Amino acid sequence: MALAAPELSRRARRVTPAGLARFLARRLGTGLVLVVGITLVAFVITHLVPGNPAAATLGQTAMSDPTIVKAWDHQYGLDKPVVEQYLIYLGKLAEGNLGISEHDNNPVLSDLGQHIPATLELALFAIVVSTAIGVSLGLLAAVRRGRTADGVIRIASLAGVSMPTFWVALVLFIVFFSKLGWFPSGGRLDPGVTPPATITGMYTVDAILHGQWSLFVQALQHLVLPGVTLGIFTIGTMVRFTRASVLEVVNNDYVRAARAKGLPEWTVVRRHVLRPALLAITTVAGLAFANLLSGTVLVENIYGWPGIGEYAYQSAINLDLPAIMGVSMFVALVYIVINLLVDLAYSLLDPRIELR
Amino acid sequence: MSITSTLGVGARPAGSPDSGSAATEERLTRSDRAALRPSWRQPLALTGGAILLGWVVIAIFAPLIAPHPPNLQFAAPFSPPSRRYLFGTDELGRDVLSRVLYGARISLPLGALLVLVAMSIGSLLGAAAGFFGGVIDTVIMRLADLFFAFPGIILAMAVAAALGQSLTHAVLAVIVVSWPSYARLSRGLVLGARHSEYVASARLFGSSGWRTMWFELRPNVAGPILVLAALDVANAILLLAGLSFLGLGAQPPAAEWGAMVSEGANNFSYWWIGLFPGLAISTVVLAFNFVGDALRDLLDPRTARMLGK
Repeated sequence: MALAAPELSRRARRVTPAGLARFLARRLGTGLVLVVGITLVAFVITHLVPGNPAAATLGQTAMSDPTIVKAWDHQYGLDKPVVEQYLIYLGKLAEGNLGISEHDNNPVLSDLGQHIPATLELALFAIVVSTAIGVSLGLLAAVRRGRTADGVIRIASLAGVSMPTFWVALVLFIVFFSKLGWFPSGGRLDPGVTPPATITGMYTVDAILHGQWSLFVQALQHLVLPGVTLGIFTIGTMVRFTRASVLEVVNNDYVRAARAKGLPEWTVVRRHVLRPALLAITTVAGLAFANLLSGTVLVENIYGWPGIGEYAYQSAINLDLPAIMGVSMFVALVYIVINLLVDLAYSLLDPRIELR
Repeated sequence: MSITSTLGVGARPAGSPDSGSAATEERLTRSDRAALRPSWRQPLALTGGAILLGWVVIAIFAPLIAPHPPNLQFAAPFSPPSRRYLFGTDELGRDVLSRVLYGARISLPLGALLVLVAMSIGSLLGAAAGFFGGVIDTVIMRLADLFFAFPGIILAMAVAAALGQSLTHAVLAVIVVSWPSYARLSRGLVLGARHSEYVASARLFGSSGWRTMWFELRPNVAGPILVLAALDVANAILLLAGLSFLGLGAQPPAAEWGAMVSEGANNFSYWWIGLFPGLAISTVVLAFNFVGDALRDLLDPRTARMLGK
């Protein structure tokens, strides 16, 4: 998209409160349908296939005793017809009850509450680091287009999105824990350390709020390796999008005009190039953040990070249906909300954009 | 990246600020665009092609190139890389180099195969949706929306786990995750071409709907879909390796790269076990990205926009 000058865009805003309310209502409505649809997909897939949740949880010996299996199926309502099972699930869902995990016997909602802050902390760390680095490198590549720096950054960013995260995790782990010993091996804190009293559930934030500085440092140290691993993939994406969107802006006449009237180069870049380009960057950062929340599975697996990804993995291998549906709904909800926020941010950054 | 378009609604630029530049772009011929491209971009595509060619040769001739059979437990376990075992040996005394070379025979053909299948299913469904419209369109595209909104790796994990842990099931899982992007792209392309005069004239000559789709529309919409497929192979290989890494794909003793990285993670004091298979994945995916990137610019500048990329 070639965007016109910010100076030209100061027209009257079209967003009225009533229009905004209509927009929000429709988007949230669509979102709700999608979320329920996702439970249906999860339900159908896990029922059409031969996998057996009882077998996944109970183990061999218990499985050979039909009464135990029957009791177990009965306890979770798995002996009812499939359609009835789903309707029961929807009914409970409407009450805000996500069911009981078939694997650890806790309510799925409280399980999610326990695991979400850990992943949120990780994803926030990763997105902050990767946006800062990615936008700077992308800007540099665009400004030095076609020169050596551009070429190097382009190859590096392609490499960033080409390396499997689980492998990057392993390599960083071996180098910085196993060989150099700079960072701890995994988990959110050293073994045996009491986490700070829960406010947000994010240990670094909670430690600051309680003024426990040594705890903060420790939590941060544990955050670095998994956070950087997650960030590397996102840096690659951010670089490429920043470069592309800056390049689309930079050839506009108003940029030439800004240079011609003698503005320092940095002012031109900051005020006339970066600001319009921020649009695309906001979108990418928002979506990348949503991707991070579901993309942590492989990283959490290596670093023993007790987040939503590890929970999803455990639910999947145990065929823990309520948990799978809970995680999927959570991630889908995040996507929907972030999309909404991105679209709202769009209309704030560029008044010409209509909310529809 | 696709979720904005998933929800269909949302912010779009009022008016069409980019129509001017799009027109300019389309007026340029293919050779014009190639000439305008910075010179270092072409070598990138060539490098990617060369790496891929190398891996294809390795995959075909693995039994001739590899010094040992992939599953032969013959050496001292955990031998570090040396002149005798270039990539060292793993916990069972298997030669890591041989296993990495044989791994190409799993990841490359499966990556290509599953992209082909996902592409066929997705673009056929999308074309039907775009061509026939109405209820068919609604049902197919809402279904695609659902699969799109479902977080990819979680859906793949659930499918792979539910079907039972095997490589075939992991491939199926990745297909289930990947078909919707083809459906969406092909629907858009077909919608754009449906009202062309050549389609109308084919119908007037009595050609049936499916026949028209195959003989008139297919050749005209194939380009962008193939570009998407080329770009998608990289993602497919990554996702498949990820599932194997989690133990939901290839099972031991298969010499699959993702599973080998997982063995490396279990024996992280011996860095060479996980390092080399991961390097193999990275080079293959990087090569596909090099090629796909150049292809995207070269074949059709509109594709990028239609994909929301």
